[in-house]
Amino acid sequence: MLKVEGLYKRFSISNGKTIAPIQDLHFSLEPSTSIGIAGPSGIGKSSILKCLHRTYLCTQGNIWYDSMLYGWINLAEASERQIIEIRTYEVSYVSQFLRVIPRVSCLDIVAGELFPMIENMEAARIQAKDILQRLGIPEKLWTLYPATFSGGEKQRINLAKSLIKKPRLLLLDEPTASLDENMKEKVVELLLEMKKEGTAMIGVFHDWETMDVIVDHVLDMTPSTASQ
Amino acid sequence: MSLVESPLLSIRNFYKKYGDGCLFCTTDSESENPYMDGNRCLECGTVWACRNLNFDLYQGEILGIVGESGSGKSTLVKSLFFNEEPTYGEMYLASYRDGEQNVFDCSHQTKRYLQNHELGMVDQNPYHGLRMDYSSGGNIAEKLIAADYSHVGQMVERAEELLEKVEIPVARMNEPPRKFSGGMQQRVQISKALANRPPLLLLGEITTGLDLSVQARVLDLIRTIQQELKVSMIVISHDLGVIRMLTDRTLVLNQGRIVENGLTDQIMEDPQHAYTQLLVHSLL
Amino acid sequence: MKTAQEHNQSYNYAFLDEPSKREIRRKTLKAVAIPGYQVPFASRELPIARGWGTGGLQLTLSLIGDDDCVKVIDQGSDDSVNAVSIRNLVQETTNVSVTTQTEAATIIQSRHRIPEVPLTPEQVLVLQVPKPEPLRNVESSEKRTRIQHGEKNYNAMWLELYEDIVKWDHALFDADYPVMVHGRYLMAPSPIPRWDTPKLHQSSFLTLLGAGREKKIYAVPPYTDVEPLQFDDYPFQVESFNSKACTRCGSTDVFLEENTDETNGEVHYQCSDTAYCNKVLDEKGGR
Repeated sequence: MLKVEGLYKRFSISNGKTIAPIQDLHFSLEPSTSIGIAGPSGIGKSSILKCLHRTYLCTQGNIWYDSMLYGWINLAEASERQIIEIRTYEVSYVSQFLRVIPRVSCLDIVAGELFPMIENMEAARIQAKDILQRLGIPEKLWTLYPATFSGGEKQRINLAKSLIKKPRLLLLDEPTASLDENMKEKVVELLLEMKKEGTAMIGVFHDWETMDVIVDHVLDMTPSTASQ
Repeated sequence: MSLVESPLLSIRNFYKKYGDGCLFCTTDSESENPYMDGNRCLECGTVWACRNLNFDLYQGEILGIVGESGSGKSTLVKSLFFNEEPTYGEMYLASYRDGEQNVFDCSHQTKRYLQNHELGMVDQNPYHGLRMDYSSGGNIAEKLIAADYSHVGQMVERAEELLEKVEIPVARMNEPPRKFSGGMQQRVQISKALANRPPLLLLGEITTGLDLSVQARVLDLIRTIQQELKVSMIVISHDLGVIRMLTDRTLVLNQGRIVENGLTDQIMEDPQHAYTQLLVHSLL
Repeated sequence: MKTAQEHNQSYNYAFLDEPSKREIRRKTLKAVAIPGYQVPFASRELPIARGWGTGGLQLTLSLIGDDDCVKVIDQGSDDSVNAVSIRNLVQETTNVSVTTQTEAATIIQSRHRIPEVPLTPEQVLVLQVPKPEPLRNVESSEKRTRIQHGEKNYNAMWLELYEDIVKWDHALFDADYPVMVHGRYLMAPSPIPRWDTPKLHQSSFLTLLGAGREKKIYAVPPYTDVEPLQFDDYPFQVESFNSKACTRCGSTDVFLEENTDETNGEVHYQCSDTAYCNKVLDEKGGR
């Protein structure tokens, strides 16, 4: 369902220099499978995810994705409106940082993600409660603003925001980085469940342990071996 | 979901100049014009506030327009609300004659009709958008009257409903906005703009001058409204933080031109144009 | 009686010079063609001060011919100083016949009233207007009121009405109640009481309105819609006299004036239209 062909990403930085974290990348991904991106930090693992999500514009190459909405579509060239639709319904990106409108309760932040599909806020809140529960967010936090939450809690709110929509393709950027073992297990369990139901995943994991459980293939970005 | 959706609003070849223009500045080209200092002509002093703007707005989306003061964003939003006339340009509204009539060419009466029925506007300065000495309920009623409401009871009811939504005590409905805080005035403006459920809302620098805590409430209100009512919005701001919170897509204006447009997160994280990079790197 | 040729020869016929009359007639035609629209005109100097009925007088003088018969009233009365002066001026410079009887007149120049007797298609009503701009109270700039008329943007006026209703439960406009003419222009009908406003709607006669000081002429042609501003749940209402009767002629279905007897504090009601009052008395044989 995802075919990346000859992907390049170059950034121009100050005084005319460029850096090129991604060069001639090829890989593909099927439903219910997952790829883990490996390599030393700073090598551009997140850049791959961001190119797939179109948060980065790729310099060259194609990202073919078999979407529900449009059929096969090149995410590198699709219109912004199409990308927005695909992000809303199909592809979700879990970043390391939570960025939300201030002073909205964590329950409503998660429930709000369902708005394009569900008109009724109450119905959305029921689903939101369910996912927050599964991710081990204590009920007493649901009505609070996430700004004051711990790193691990914020990370799980981020996961909840993405997972509640049951995306077909999940882009995971260190989703378990600041979680303790117990929480990590809950997250892994949830991810495996979704994978079984058909979700394809591509992710950067900070520990080999999680990677081993979730990932089917490894994409090694270590220099000079930057292909599968 | 088809591959081709038609926009709610289209702007084409939009130009606005202040001054007469001359041979040196009228020939427009994207390349550097040696007779221009930014958007100002060195020969005749004409300021080209907006130059060749083209963009679309789609149903239910929030489009951000970001740029510093003098970038042309206020001129643009005033023109979209028919408070300024463009020098040339085309504007098409899907709701008017199937989007085939350039509404900039229509009579003033038609423009007034469209402003009253199809648009809502929240001005940066509540003193421009509200009648400070009339009641807050009356300010909302003015928009309803303009959209052909003719029943006082119904208008009072609608005003109550809206004030409740923006968290202004209904008991204070008969007080003039002059007595309210800046944040409350802004919320009255928002309820007025929304009163007749227009499909398109124009928001100009609405959080400027508000305390951070009040800003957050106004932003939250706008997001909620957008989710519940599916109104399309254009949000004008010099504040990338506001743009990031509210919008899906963003246009970056600099010296009257669109220098970059894209998904908001892409603009923030992978800006392509030197000016956008400068903006992003200036963000606190 | 002197013939028309025998009018005071020191002045041109009907006081104004011919080009002036022609201009006023031309502006009047334009006003009739665009019902309710205020047509600017070059208001002339007259032997009475501006603000004392010069707008109405110029209309009367520009229209008048030998066959006309003129009636001039001031707040319903034929006998007030202002009405008498205007009537004398018209007669002195034209020598047309004058009357106090509404039925006998061809041109009725009036300040603040429309006669009780229904007018006919053969009659022209000329109203004197102090403030022709209905929007002036809500918008002080002439430039902006003109734009508002152009865009048919009367939101400010409707808002005024809304605020009155919300605050006081009724409209505060009293005389000079704003009306929409032919569904297009908002018009100040001159300070006639609300009682008279419905008489302008689909009337069989022509109404011309002249503001001398403000230099505007406007008109309501016969059979034109004249609708007072009103909300669905707060309909326009005329003054109510609670079935009081005129102490002089006994009429009840007329616009009454309230007079307080200063010696004993008693309140009396009397017809505002004195000619009508006299007519009723005559018919009863009571005079």
